[in-house]
Amino acid sequence: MPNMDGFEACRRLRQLDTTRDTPIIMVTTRGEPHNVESGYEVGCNDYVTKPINGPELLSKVRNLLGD
Amino acid sequence: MHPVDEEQLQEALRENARLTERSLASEQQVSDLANLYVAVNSLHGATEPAGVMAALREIVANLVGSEEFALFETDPRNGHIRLVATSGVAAFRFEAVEIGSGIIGTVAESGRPYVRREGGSGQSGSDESITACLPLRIGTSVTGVLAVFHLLPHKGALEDPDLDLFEALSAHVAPALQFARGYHGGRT
Repeated sequence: MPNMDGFEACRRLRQLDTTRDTPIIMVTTRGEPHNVESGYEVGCNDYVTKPINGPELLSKVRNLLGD
Repeated sequence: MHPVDEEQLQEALRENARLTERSLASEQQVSDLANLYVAVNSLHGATEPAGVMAALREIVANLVGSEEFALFETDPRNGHIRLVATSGVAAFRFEAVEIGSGIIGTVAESGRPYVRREGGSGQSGSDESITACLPLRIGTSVTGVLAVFHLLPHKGALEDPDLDLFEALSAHVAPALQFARGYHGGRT
């Protein structure tokens, strides 16, 4: 991402009233455990590593939307 | 209500498990086809060479699971192979690539893809680090080569849908690049 990374973007979204409770799934090439942990620390709800597995991502979206 | 005996219940559970498995397999097939559609569509949707490269970068990262690739073109007039672009790997490693030499040069010459299912290893840009090396075609002519290097650590190994994706890349990257150059050149 230009200008800021996904972790910082997630952190800022969590600070805004309008997006505080918006579900966030991080989709990233960084699959190492410490990166996954960092994602949850900044407030993401779930974490998906690339390459993207369509059904897995869809399942997580459905889960977060209570579908 | 009729009482359900234990055997009927177990059979119903087994049938449910079979249907769930088939449903998941179908969902995965649809996803794999969608990936192919997205890949081809994004390549052909680019109207300038940089757009084709951006689409290729997304495809390799999001669908294949690598952040390292190099794109070459062959020159039929002198039999040379020319580096067009790299992503995630240093360009200087490909200064001495020649047709018929090494994996990249051999694929350019033979037109046959090279695939290492377990993924490449070793120093980035070396032959050992190549996961897949694909001839790029326009019609029946090989006009270039796409080399994909290390897989992302959590990718593990290539699977059958990755091979389908490679076939699509082999057939569509070069025409997309040619179109983008022509279109962009005609407007500037």
